[in-house]
Amino acid sequence: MRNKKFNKIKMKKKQLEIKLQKLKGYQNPIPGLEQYLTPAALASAILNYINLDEGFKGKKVIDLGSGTGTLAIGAKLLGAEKVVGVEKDPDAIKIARENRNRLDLDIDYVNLDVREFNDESDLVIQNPPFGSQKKGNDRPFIEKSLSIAPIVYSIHKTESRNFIEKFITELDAEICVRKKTGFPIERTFNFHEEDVKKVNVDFYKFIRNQTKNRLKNE
Amino acid sequence: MKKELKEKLACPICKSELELRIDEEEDDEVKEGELHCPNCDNDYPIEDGIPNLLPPDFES
Repeated sequence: MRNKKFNKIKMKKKQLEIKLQKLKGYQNPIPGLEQYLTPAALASAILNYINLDEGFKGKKVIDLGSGTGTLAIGAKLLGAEKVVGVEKDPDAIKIARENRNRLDLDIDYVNLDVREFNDESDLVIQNPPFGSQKKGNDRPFIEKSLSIAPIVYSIHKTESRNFIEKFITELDAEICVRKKTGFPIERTFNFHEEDVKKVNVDFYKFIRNQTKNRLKNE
Repeated sequence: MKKELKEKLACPICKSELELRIDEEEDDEVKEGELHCPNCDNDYPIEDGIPNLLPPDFES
């Protein structure tokens, strides 16, 4: 019983990964924005987990810092009712829209700084800048996400653990999943010395404290 | 994690209620332990006070 369920999940994950792999990535990444493509395998693992956990079906999902649109597209493919991607780089938005159009999906990509976005949703998924180049780059993302959604899935650098824990408590939320994983960053900028560098990151689920027993009532 | 957080959590695979097993605690905070799903017999570890509710084969 358990194995059958696991195999089915695995199969779905692989199919999603293949679809996400075909998406167009950054053409001219801007270093200051830390535009790294979420690797298809990691994106697919995360999206499938979220689908198991809270589920996308019937949900309004917002992707903050949506870049070229991977996570937003995955959420839509997994059955989210409404998906909005928010991204301040107009070139990235253009590519995200191209990807969306090619797959004929109904997703809104809004060209806006996340700080200026104020639409409520059921959940936020985000892969914010890691703050490697400018410390605290991920701060406005965390703050905004918890102000517009009761549940947030997010990826952060493992070395920011202490900051994340403190900040989440300050924002009256709790961490209810943390999983360390590797994030391969391909050589996109000339200051990267190796072709593929693996950065240790944590995948998180944050829950706002006002949300009670949400999971169980569904 | 705070002990009361258990009430908000469910097994990510079968949505069953979880049992809390505590190895180390401080006030009402669980530092080390695990959340056990009696239905699918999975254990989800709590390390450094943070639960990790992910299926065992999350990345494979």
